[in-house]
Amino acid sequence: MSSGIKIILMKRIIILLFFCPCFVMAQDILIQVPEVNFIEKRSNLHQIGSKQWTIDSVLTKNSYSLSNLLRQFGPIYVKEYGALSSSFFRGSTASHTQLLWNGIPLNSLSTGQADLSIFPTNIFSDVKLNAGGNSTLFGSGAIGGSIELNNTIETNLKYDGIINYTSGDFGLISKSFFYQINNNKSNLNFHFSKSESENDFEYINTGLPENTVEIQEHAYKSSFQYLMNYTRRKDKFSSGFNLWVSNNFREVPVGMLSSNPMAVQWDDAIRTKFFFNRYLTNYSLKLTHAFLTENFEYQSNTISSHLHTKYHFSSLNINRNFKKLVTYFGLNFQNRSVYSNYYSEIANENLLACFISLKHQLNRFTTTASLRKEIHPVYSVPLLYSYGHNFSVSSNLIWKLQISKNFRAPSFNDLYWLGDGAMGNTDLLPELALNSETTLEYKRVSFTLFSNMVDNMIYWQPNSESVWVPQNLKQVWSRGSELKYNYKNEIDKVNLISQFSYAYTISKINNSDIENDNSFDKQLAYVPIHKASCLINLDFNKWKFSLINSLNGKVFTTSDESSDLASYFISDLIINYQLNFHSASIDIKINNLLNKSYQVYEWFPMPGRHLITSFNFKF
Amino acid sequence: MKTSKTINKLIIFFITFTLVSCTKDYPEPLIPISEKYDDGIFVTCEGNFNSANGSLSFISDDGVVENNIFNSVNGFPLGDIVQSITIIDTTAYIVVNNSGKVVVADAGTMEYISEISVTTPDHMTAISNDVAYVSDWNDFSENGFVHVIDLKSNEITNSIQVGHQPGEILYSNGYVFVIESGVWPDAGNSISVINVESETIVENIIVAANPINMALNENILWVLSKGETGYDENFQEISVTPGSLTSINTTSLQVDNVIELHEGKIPRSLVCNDNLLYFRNGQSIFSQSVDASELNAIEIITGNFNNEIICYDDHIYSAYVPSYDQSGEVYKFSTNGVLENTFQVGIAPGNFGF
Repeated sequence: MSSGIKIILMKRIIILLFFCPCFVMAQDILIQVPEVNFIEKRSNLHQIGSKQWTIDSVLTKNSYSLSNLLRQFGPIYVKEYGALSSSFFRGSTASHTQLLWNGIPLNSLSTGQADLSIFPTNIFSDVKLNAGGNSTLFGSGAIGGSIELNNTIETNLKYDGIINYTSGDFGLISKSFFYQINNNKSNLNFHFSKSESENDFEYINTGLPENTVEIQEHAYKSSFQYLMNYTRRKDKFSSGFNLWVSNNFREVPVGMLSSNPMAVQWDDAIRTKFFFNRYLTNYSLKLTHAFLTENFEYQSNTISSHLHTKYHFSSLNINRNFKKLVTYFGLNFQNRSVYSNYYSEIANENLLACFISLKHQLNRFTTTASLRKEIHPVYSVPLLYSYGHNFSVSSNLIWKLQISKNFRAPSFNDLYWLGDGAMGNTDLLPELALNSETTLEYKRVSFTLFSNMVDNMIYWQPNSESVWVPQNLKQVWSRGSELKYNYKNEIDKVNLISQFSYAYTISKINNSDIENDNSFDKQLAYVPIHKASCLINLDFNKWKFSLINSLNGKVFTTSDESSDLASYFISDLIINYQLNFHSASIDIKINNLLNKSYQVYEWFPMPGRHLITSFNFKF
Repeated sequence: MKTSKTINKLIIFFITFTLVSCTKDYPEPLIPISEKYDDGIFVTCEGNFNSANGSLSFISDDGVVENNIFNSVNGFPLGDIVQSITIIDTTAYIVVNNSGKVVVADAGTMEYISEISVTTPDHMTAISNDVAYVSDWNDFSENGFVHVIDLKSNEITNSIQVGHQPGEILYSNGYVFVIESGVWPDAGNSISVINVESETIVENIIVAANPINMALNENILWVLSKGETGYDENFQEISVTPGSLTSINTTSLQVDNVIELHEGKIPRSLVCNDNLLYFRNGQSIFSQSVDASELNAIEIITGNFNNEIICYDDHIYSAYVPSYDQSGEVYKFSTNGVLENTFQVGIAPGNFGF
């Protein structure tokens, strides 16, 4: 290999590792030097046969939380109520979305869900959505899809620091600071962000004898985030760490017709990840160890719940490249220990997973196949597999196909809960899913058909003693289609980018072990059949306008379609103006532009039109 | 000029998208005002906790079910966890547990009259047409309350502290009896007795573990206890005590007799009609004479029900909750166990009232 190609390869590795490795970029590079095998993240294999997309940074920088971001944008349905916000990919349930931070699962060990309202979006370099099952890559929970929060090193930044000050209606104040120290060999950056909001918006309580105007009470929230990323590169090594300290506090609001037990909740976490990577000509070796601790506390007038989690995640990934074949082999060991005042003793589990993935490229045909085996002491997980391909039918037309077996493990609460009229069940089986999907991509349009059959669905039901117990009770079949369209145009210095997405989802109970179950063959509660979103970015001179429209179709609030919530159309507008001074900019965001009164969850109010102003200063 | 054209086009595009996506406003349903709820039985449908989708169903004597009647008449819902209904004279008192209120409505038309604020109410009983007692979990805390309510002003005149999670409440011979049911795994095992003259607790009667329902036959108060299942730390059953019936003399406040029920089943719901006690044990409804001093029950119905039963108009009505996110069912049986009708009602039917 000539030294020239070697340099190109090294550059490429660095670019792929440290730049935002989004699909478009990877493709561009591939076109430049097609003869060289490329090393990429194993998680990106999901692109073969399925879809991965990176959310526009205009949205991630202007969103209060992940919940806020995903509710307005893309095909995911987000259900928000009280202190919980959960996402629903393709008609799946809340625990069927895996949230990952630099490859480390963040879903709560106790519930299996990720509460999207406590995750910020503005401290990450990119937020990616993977629709479809990918348990072979990410393990338990990745049935409906996964959300990746990544911190990659951005070496091409034109500035070293950003100061942001945001203030908005309902007592929102947010301050954030970013600074990076960069040289040839290493990069250190840190983000600091602090925000709070009274969240005391007005709404009309339509559930009372007179439709009275009320103010949402007891809904204050505050968040503190500290994130540090360090990477050191030397020859064929790279190593570093990520550290994320997160403190969240909130008062838990209740629905407009329910008594308020004045609950408050703390979600505190310290998350660390260390990595060591070694690159050889055709090999790479990656060692990762992450340690996460989480403290959860919930206090109401009468309920007091404490949870303390310690989570070790170690992985070894070996990647070997042949001419047209890329192979990945990996081992992943996890130790999870949860203390809860609702468990009879500290629940401690070890989990070992081994996996292998192949990627093969032959002319216009890219194929991938993966196998994963997880060994767990309480339940057994069958061998998981996935197959996917991208076939370039012509230069404009790509055909994608993916078939995979995925699972969701019972959560610690499902297994070990004891108290307050409920009891866990250690005989639970994991939920198993068979996913298949196919996509046609023609120029800027993509159309997908998907099917997702989930068996052994876990439901909590009262037993004959009226004690709530989880059981594997139902089978759910979700299927539907997704349409995505991107439009770009530049006319007279006016830059227009528009992204449109529409999802059609039928998600029905296919089988139930409950006697006389009226939900048989009915749409799942809170899964809209129609969801559409449209993002329009308009750039000219120093102005940038973003209009985000989302249409959430009618949802049923019960599993037998006996009652429903009306559909709603919400628009948010972001206006950005670049000042001449030090690349400073001002953002004005108007949420719920049309001042619609709507409910995402029955009897939980949502705010009307409100304004957020943000000032950015770069240096 | 070209730029402004483009901008115009874009504005039109925005507006079109906005208009196309607007949802239609449907007219409000017509409010029936002539409906009478005199001849039939009310079913309280709890709804799901924190979803505020509790409702009231009505099954008329000629076998017609009407759901969500309170909302249809008044245009607003009852609230979160519609626990029970008590009819006093011509007024309905609907206990809405997690909305912290007792809704007062006309029992004949279901028109809203007023409401009484109570922290976490469970059941209500009248001692006269002017005074009623309501049990209150007091926000799930260790000590509940029984409140004395003046029905003229709909105000609480006195609050008496009782044990953990007070449930069913009954009046007899100058005493109000209230079950202290506790919350699993902390089983309750007592009945507090309140003298209505002094409005104080005069007795605390110990019964078998997990008392759940009461029924009155002349001077005898029957208490149904669920019994107790013990678990070790791996959730393996280690001990089971069967359910039981305790009879209490409401004059002497002494326990007359304790009748142990069939083992291996969890009893729930007790009513008394025509000198017969009807109770559900597991999936079966049994009847037994009030005079029997030991278990002598006849299984009259076996079926698919998991909530309360009631005797009304010489029939047995039984409620079934498939799950807390869908419509429940009520079955109507003749007293010898023949299924006469099935009604689809609101979410989680729990209690009855007439």
